[in-house]
Amino acid sequence: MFGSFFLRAARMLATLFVVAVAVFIMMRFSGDPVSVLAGPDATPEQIAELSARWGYDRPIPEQFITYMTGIMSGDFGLSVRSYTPAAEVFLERVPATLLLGLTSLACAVLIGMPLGIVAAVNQHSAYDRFVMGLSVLGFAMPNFFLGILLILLFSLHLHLLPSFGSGSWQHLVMPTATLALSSAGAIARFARSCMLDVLNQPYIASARARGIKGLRRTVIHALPNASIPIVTILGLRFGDLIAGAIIVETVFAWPGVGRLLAASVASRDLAVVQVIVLSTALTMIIANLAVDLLYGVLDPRVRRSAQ
Amino acid sequence: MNKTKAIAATLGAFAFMTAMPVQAQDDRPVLTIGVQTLPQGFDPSMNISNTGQRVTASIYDKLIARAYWEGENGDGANLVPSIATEWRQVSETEWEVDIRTDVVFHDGTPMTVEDVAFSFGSDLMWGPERIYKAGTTYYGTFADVSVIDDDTVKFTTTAPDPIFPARFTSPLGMVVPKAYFLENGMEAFNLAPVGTGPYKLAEYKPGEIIRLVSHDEYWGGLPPAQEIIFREIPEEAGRITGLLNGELDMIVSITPDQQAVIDNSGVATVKAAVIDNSRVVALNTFEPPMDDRYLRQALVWAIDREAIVEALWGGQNRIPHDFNFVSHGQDFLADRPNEHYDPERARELLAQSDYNGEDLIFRIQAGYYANYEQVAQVLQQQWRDVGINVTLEIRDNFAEVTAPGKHMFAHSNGVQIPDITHPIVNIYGPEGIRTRPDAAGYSWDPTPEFLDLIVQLETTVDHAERIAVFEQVLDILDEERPQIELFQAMEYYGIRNGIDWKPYSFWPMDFRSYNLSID
Repeated sequence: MFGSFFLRAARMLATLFVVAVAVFIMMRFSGDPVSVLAGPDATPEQIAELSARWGYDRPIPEQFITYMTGIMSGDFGLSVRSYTPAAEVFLERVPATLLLGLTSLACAVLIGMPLGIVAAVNQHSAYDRFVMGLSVLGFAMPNFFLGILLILLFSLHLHLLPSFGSGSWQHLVMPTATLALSSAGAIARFARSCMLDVLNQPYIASARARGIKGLRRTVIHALPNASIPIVTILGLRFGDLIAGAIIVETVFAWPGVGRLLAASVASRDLAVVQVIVLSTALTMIIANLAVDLLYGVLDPRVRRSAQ
Repeated sequence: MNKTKAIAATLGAFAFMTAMPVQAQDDRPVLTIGVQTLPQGFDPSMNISNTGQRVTASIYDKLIARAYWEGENGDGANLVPSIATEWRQVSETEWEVDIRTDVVFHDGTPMTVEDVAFSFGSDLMWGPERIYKAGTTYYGTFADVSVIDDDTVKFTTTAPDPIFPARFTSPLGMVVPKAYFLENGMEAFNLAPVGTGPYKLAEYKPGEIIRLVSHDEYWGGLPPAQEIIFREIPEEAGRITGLLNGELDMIVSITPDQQAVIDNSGVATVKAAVIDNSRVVALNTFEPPMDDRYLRQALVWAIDREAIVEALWGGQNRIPHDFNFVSHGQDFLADRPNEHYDPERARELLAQSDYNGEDLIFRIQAGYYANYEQVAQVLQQQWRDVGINVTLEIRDNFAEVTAPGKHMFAHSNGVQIPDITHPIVNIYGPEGIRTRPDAAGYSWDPTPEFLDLIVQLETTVDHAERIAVFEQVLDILDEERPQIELFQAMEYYGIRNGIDWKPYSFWPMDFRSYNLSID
């Protein structure tokens, strides 16, 4: 058990290291941050002064060592836009994005799972075809388009919801719906597919032969086994929700990490970009670790093999 | 100067009348404005762009103001008192300026003549070690700024300066607090500004919100709004919906095709302003084959600007006569020809050039100038029609736009001082942003004769002589063609019914009592 844990922890650290290196390389070679910072009318002396102040005049290996040392000590440097620690800038936006991401994920599961399971139980029925058509529409529709449609309907025409910002549950409804609907579509399709696999297993036929009724058979016997691969996709969907937040937060002016990332990339605010990308990678790794641990809870075979 | 005194008296009377009890302040509304992007700070020099001036106009006062509000279209060009109450020329190269003594900075410190002398002195604006590098663009003729007494500052110029008072109406005409600025430095000042304007900074979350609150000790009277809130809403649909829903009182940067949506809503209307800023294609004359004058001229004659303006702005926009702007008032040369579309002539010029069909790189900053990407695609097609191949490169920021390898790039010319010297001095003068070798937009090396004409333009007092020099400058530019003027910028504001506010022909949004009233 401990061996497995340490192996996972070692993999996690290796992944984080690779991400940190990739972020450093991409940001250093995708444009000059000092020229952006200095502005179009800056003189070479000003650019040199800024380079020195922010450490961009030092050799790349030295910059890399400083960067990695900083990461390990939790110091990501200062934001060039606000002159405050990048980690603070990031952490200030985290609650808004977590609220949006987790609410969306919960809604996506609550909508997608039942729809997919009922579709599987009623395979080839009109309901099945309707739900699958709807799910395709859900995940095929671009977030920015769906978001604007919702704004036009619920804000402009029905005057039910605010069109931008945060601060109340009403503000949360449309960004959540935009993110959740596409995920719900994907979850519904996957849940249907997993459920169909399980429903065709001999032990379900045996349960049927033993006279176990439909609802009990589905929920008690089929669902736990069907949940195992669904849990996997939930971990992946969490990553998608963070990526989707960049667009949805921009459309709804939601003050989260997504908008911060877009603005920081445009203004070459390297410290903030680094802290966001690394934190997102860490979140993804932890989400996958949580999925692995959930496997053990849901599947006794995984538990036994680990032991 | 009688008019000047009258306006000063009016402002004083207004200040007295508006010194009302606290009860009245509470009744003032909060004005929320949806903008596409917020500035990255508030220092006048670091935030000279449209997004910056939109906000800094409320935080600072200029030494001398341009009375935009007097013009029917927000394009008035008279100079009126602001921090300065009066100004007079005492010799050919000396001016004395009287300063208000009742001005208080946002931090409660009284403003003094020392602050004024610092704001336009050598340390900040025009000396070799100046803090504001762009300062010489506006105050390059200054030789000395000294305090005479508690309410008078003397300015000495290196040569006769016919536009001396007008210089202070530029984006760098603002008064800043000397002690606070020097103590904190420009970067800290940028994030925690202190000015004398009608509103002071209360909250700033980059990319989210700027909240300005009333500066109740404002010398010009109690500001009409309790708070001015700028909210960043990048999506135009979000801004429009917010306005029509009543979540926002005003919005900016509306595309012309959305004007009818707002006008027909019954709750808000659109006010459009032609801005004294022309969108241009700057030609990099250092990058072959763009060093060929005939090629540059061919590029100009191949463009149908009327068609572009008609298609994208419904014909509401104005096509500038190169550096000859309508906002130059009586000095605008209305009879100077402005016909630039002749594809046949473009082909003839191309035939005279050494151009061999090479791909010309045209760089544009993504989303910076409204509609510019669409315009660039039209230009690309119109140039292709006469045999010039152009590749568009969309870049994230201006540093990447101006990086080596471009043949042309999107840029603009703003008339920041209502005089024929502007914007030509800023752009192609000796310290111009496209002629200074250390400037990012460096793209043309004028002859010494041309630069001498620019100096003459700035220092010639005789009106007829100035106009003659101006014509010579325009003739040389017609021949050399270091840039292509396209059209003037337009700004469309959505304004909730019940708000009486006039947009100006430049970027500042003025929320002082003479330009804002709210039902």
